[in-house]
Amino acid sequence: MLDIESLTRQYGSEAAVDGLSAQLARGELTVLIGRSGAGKTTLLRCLDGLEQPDEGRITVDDAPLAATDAALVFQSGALVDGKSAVGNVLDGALGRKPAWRELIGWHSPDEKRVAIERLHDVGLAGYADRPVEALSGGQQQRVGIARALQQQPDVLLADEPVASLDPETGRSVLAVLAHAVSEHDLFGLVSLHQPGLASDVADHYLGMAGGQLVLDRPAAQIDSDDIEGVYAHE
Amino acid sequence: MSERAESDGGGHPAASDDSLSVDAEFQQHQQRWRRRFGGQVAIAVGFVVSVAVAAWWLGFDLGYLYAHRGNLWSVLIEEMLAPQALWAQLQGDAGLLVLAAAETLAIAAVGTALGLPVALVFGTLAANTVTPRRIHTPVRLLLGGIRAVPSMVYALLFVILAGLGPVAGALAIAVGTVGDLGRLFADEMEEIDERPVEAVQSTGAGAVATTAAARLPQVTTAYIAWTLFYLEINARKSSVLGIVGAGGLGFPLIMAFRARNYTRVMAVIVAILVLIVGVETAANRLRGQLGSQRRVDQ
Repeated sequence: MLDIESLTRQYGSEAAVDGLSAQLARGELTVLIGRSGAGKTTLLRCLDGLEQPDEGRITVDDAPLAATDAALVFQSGALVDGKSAVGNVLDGALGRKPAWRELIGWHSPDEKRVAIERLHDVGLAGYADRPVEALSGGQQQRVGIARALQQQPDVLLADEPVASLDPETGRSVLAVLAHAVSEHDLFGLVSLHQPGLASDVADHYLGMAGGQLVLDRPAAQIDSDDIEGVYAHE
Repeated sequence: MSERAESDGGGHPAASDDSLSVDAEFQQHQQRWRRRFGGQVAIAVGFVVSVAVAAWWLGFDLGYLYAHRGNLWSVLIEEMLAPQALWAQLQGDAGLLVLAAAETLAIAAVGTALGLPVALVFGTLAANTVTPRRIHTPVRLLLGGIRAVPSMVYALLFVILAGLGPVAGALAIAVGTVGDLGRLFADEMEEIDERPVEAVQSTGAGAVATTAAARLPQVTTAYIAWTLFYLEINARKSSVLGIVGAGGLGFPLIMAFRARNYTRVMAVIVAILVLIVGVETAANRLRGQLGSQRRVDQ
C-alpha cells in the first residue's frame, strides 16, 4: 500500500495541500480530480519528490519513498527537443547510471534495448530515432510515459497528461497508462480535468478541493453526481 | 531473442502494427548510433591532432615556457605588482592617465556616434527581408569586407590621413562600428515578424514609410542593446589603438613597454581597467533603465 499521512504543503500562508491522508493499492489506477488550484499538482509533485512536504509522510509498504521510486508524466511531454525519442526515454534511467554516460552519449546496449521495448509498449514501434519535435502531441505524451517507465518506478504519476489532446487520443494515452500500471503492478495516480475520459480504466477516484480530500471511493461505487460534487465544492 | 520482446509487449491494446520488431529496431538504432558516434570521435580526434600540429608548427614548447617562467614571475611580482612602487607611480602619473582615459572614452563615444547612423542605413539595406537580392547581397558583402580588416589597420591608415592622434582613432572606431553593428542590425531585422509589415504595406505605404512604421519599432530594443554593447567593446578597442599612435591610453602603454618601465605599464593597465569597468557599469545601468534585452542571434 502507498500511504499518504496528513500531508501538508504550504506556500506562504496558503496551504496548497492541507492535511491530506489517503491510501493507494498496487496495480490500481487512481484518478485525481478537482478544480484548478485545488492542489492536485502540488500533491503529485510531493509524491514525485520535486517538492518537500512541510508536514506528513509518504510511505510505500511502510518504507519511505525514494526519488527514483516515483515517476511523473508531465502535461505536454516536457521532452528534450533536439534528442530522439529513444534518447528521451533513456533520460528516465539517469538516476541509475553514472553521469559520464550521458555526457559522451554512450549508453549500454541493454539499456537501449529496454528503452526501445518501452517505446514498442506504448505503441511507438519504429520511432526510436525520430526527433521528438517532429512527433504529434499524443506521440510525445507516449514518449513521456515510456520515459517514466524506463525509470522502473514503483509509483507512476501523471499530471493532466491528456489536457492538450483530442478525446480519442486522450483515451488511448490513458489506456497505455492503465496497461502499464496493471502490467508492472505499480501504484498509478493520474490527475485529470476530463474524468469522463478515464471511465473505462479508472479503479479508484480521489477528489480534492481547497487542498483537502473530499472524495475517496472505488470506481464501482462512483456516479456522476459524486464527480460533479467535487467541482462544486468551495 | 524474440522471447524478450514477447514477454514485455505481447498482445495488448497499445502496440499498433509491430511490423518492426524490437530486435530489428535495436539493430537499426545501434548501426545509426555507431556511425554517428564514430564520426564524432573522428572529428574530435582530428581536431585535437590539428591543433597539436599547428601549435608545434608555431613553435609551442611547453618545456621552454616552464623553464622561463621565472622571467614573467619576476617582472610581475617585483615590478608590476609591487604595491608601494605601483601606488607611487599612479600618483605621479595621475594627471597623464586621467587625461588619456578621458581621451580614450571620447574616441569610443565619437567613433560610435559617427558609425551608428551609417550602420543603421547599411544594416537595413542588408536585410534580406527588406531589400531585393541585387541590393542586400552586395551590401552584406561590403559589410563583411569592412569587418574583415582589423581596427589596428584602419588606425594606421587614418593616421596617414589625419596625422597621429585621437582623430585617427575615432575614425577607425567609426569604420569598425559600421561593419560590426551593420551586420548585427541586419541580422536582427531579418528576424522580425513579417505580418505587421505586410499589414502596413497593404495600406499602400511606400518602402521607406513601411520600414519606419512597421520594421524599425520591432528592432528598437535590440538595436539599443547592441549599441550599448558595442560602446563597451569600442572603449576596449580605443584603449589599445594608441599603440599605433591613434591617441588614448595606448600611447603611454606602448611607450612604457619600450622603456621597460613595467611599473608604469601596470599603472596604465589599472587605468584601462577602471575605465572599462566604469563604462560597463554605466552601460548596464542604462540598459536596465531602457529595459532592453539583448537577444542572441542564431
